[in-house]
Amino acid sequence: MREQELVKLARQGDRDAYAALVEKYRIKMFNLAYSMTRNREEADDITQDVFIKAWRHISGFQGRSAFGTWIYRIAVNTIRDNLRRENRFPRIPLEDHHAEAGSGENLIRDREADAELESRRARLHRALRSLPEKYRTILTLRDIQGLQYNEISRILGLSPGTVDSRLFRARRRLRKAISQPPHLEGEDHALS
Amino acid sequence: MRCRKTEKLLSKAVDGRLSPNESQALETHIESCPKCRLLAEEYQGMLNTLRSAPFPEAPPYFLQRLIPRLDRSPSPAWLPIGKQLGLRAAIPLALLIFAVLASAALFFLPEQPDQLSQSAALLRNEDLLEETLSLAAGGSDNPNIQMIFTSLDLNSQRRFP
Repeated sequence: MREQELVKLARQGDRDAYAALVEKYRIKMFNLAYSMTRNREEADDITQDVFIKAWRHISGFQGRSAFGTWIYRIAVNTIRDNLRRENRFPRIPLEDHHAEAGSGENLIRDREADAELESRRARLHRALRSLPEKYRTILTLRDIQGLQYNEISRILGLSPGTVDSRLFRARRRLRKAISQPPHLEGEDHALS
Repeated sequence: MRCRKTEKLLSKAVDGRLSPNESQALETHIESCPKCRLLAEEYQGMLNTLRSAPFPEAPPYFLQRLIPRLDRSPSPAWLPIGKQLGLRAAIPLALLIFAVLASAALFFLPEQPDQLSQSAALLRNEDLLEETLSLAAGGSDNPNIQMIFTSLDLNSQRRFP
């Protein structure tokens, strides 16, 4: 069944149609939440919240944008709220070991190269976490999720020109954050 | 091209958003500038690492855990009509209903006689004093008006004995 038909049925309260939509988007939502939080359980909780919120508000979804754009927008707002709460009551991060545990490549590759890549990745994600939330969001949507500029523009409600300039600033700040000595990383952590 | 522009163009280049001219200018500059070549490598490495980051497997039984929570939420079909239409549609609808009711009230309510102020009466060339005197002299069928003029007579007798 086409997505539009599923949305129409879901708006009428058809839970099976909604479940089909959930199935289509849940991995994308989970990956987005994980990219922003680096915590598997937290990302799972956020994904659940996203689909509960979407169910509650699907009757107000007018179909002016694609369902995917709409659900991404809900996810970005939910993650943002979560990060703000997190900023007040920080969790102890359980990051990255889940990602490593899920991969069987380590057995094949050279261990030293793997260790170096993992260390680079961990450093990069620490730097990413130290960025203001607006930069972290745009980098996640573009460079981790691989969304197109026009999709990002619709999800964040920004003009394409603003997406372009914000993305440039975000990348520049990330590069500078990686270049910082490790003891200074995360000093400019802020939500904006 | 100046070094200052390199990073901006690199950011566009990694997304394939450079014009052929910009692309040519960037390439030529990077070939001749070791500092910008290093920056380009650093940039590309950073984005490759970011883009290739693996994701963990999502916890299992997602739908099975979600469905009971959906059951506890109200079904979208049962939400009030305002929500169904969305707030943007509800506000103009409410204004329209208000306008229709207001115009119906104006149309059907009986017309009230004009209560003229003194200045409005003068503008209409009406003499209120003359009208009052004619009422006092000729009397009126209305018992209320008769009582008013009777009390005025009594008061004037008391004030000017």
